[in-house]
Amino acid sequence: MPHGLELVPDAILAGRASDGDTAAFEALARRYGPQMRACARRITGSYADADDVVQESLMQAWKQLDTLRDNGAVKGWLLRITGSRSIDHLRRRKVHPELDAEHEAAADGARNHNNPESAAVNGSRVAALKAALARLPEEQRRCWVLKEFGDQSYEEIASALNISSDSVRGRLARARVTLAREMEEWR
Amino acid sequence: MNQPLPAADELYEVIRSVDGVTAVYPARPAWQNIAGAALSAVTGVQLPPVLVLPGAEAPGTTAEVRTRIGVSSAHRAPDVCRDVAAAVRRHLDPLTVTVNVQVAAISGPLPLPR
Amino acid sequence: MSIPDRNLECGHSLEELSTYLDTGDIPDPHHLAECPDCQAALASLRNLKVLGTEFLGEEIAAAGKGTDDWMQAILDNLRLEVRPGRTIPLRPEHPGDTLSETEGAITALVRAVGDSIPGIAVGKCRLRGDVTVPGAPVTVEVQLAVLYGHPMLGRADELREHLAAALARHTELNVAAIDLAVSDVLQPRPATPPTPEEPQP
Repeated sequence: MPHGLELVPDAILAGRASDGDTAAFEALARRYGPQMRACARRITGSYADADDVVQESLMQAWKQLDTLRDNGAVKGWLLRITGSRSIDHLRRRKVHPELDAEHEAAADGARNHNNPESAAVNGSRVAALKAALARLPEEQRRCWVLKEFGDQSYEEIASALNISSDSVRGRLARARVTLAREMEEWR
Repeated sequence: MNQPLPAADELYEVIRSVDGVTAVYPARPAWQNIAGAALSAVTGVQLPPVLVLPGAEAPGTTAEVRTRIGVSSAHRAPDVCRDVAAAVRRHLDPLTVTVNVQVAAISGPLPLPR
Repeated sequence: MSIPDRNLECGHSLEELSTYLDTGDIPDPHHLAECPDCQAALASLRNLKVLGTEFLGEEIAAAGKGTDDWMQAILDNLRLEVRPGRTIPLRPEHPGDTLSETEGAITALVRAVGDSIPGIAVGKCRLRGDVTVPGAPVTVEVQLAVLYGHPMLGRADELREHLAAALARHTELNVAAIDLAVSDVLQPRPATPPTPEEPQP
């Protein structure tokens, strides 16, 4: 099925979407949905959780379109919502400990180096990075994913994680140093 | 005289098996304005796909059934909607019921005109 | 090893370099330009950044496309929850029953019909008139984005015919008119081959 709105630039789609044009909004969702999903999955640990997050994020985005000041910046805005929704999702899980154990197990499985997906690309540098990322402390990993996958500023990451910008700066640096060292050892 | 209210999950199966029904979505009670998904996202509670309420005037012998459905475009949506109401009524006989069915989505390959 | 744990031998911290990577700001740019320790560590962090981008690319590819089923399911739920619109009544067989369709279901139907015609994408879609009253005249307004080079003449009639058929089949609306308006002409991207023409019925 052709989706002709694929050709329309972000700023025009965002402007039309905030006028209530649902097709324009859906075209944006299709355009950035895969990156939103990838980002949410790296934070939550599973595609099932990621899909919930993407849906909530898009719902929030649709309701708050009028708060988007720069229509051309819609990609970063969607990823920012996705990042903070992913973190919210993890927090909600903490409220339901019985669900938590189950999810953590699933998330660990997804992060584990012996899952079939990473086995397929085993031996590649990306696979090594993925494994090194999985070994990082939780907070460092979140900072790294929000930065590199979500392209967020320190302030944006700070507000999603409810920590200070300085903490983000420190954790991100520690994450990068650990990852860079591991990648050098791998080579 | 007083019958227990029919089970919602049984009705779900009845509605789901009507020709042309592709999905049964959480019914939205009149008092509830918050979107179903948003609510379940906050509370972790899933709304039941079929809502069965005791009838207002005679709670023991009447009931109200509410649901929202998705329909395949291979079937005429209004006909499917009426078929669902009829199937619910048939299933709950001899209980006196009023049925509220809303088509919330029409999906699938679109028939060419003529 | 070009990356120590915290501080480089020159006394600068890796945190400064990490921040420099993101913001381009560093307290002592002259030192950075000349210090081999700093340059080596920075190169290592940049390699990681490049690898991270490659990783992200793989992850996005693994997450699927915007036209996949998972995305469609999400969009279907959004349509359902966020914008059901007005309630359009259907004639009940049994008095007392309340049967209806949501406006959102009908505008989604209109969009699906429009999108099935090559070279056309449906933009805004509105049902004008009181759709909540059975038999009230309703005008369907549809804005279209048309791919450059696709002749609109004939396409409009074809679309109008398809829409009328779909609305007659799936609704009990009294459709007085279907107004089509072209709001955009889209230039195809060089990389994207033009949508192939389909044989006319």
